[in-house]
Amino acid sequence: MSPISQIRALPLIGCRRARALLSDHIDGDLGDANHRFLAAHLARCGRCRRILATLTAVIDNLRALPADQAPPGGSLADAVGQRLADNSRSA
Amino acid sequence: MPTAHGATLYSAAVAADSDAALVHAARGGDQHSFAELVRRHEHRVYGVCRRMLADPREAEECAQDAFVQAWRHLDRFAERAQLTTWLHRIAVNEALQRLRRRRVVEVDLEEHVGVLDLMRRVDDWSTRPDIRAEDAAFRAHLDERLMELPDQLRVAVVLRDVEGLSNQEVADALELSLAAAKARIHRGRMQLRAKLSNWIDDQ
Repeated sequence: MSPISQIRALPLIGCRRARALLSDHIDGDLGDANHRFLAAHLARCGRCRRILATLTAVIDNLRALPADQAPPGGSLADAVGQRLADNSRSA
Repeated sequence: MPTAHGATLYSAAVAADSDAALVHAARGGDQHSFAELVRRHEHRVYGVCRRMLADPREAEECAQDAFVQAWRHLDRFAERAQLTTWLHRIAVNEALQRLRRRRVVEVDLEEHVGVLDLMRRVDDWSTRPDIRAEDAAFRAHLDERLMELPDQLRVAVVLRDVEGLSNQEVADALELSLAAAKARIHRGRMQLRAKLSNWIDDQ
């Protein structure tokens, strides 16, 4: 990697602080001062903009994951019914 | 003892009832009605347990425990409330109890990797922020990577982003301060993003 590339690979001053604020920004939970800082930082930092974009996409997709999944062993109704019957016998 | 034909007719009648009618009957001790409630809601309850516990077998046991708890506490269910929400809350609590019992000492990500190192790794993600929300293959991959997160990070992300709890509700559920819960959610999200980098680069 050339010296110029190495310099370009270094994070900008403020990247660490900016990236720590990304979840709050996405959740709409950022105070005014942090909002101003983040907006100013994102305006000049392409890497943090990319991270924000991809983090947003990940969260959007998490929110769209299906809530339902089929139990691999089939319906739980029989097993639950058996446990209730066992409990009532032992009570 | 009902005949087989009689049992079939009875089951068909139960299956046609509303949740409210089934809850009412179950409160009176009717296990057939409760079994129908289990069949109606087991995919959601199992889904919550699976995402929080990762292990399918343990998730199945957890979902069974949740329904047994629901049966025992049917009298506490307020009929105006959504049954789905009530069962969901019981399932979350059962899964959290199991996670606490595991007593897994998890490595604090920041101790060993450091935030900046993590950031450098996520920088490897190519300039492809255009993940399509409708991409089912991506979601399947996301689901798998989610299961790989350390328990404490996965449960925070699942509760916040998959189950839709607020930051404060996550903090309450995990018995953490709001700041600690938010930090855990953020670390989980960032780590998940890092885990997805190869998949994105391969597209």
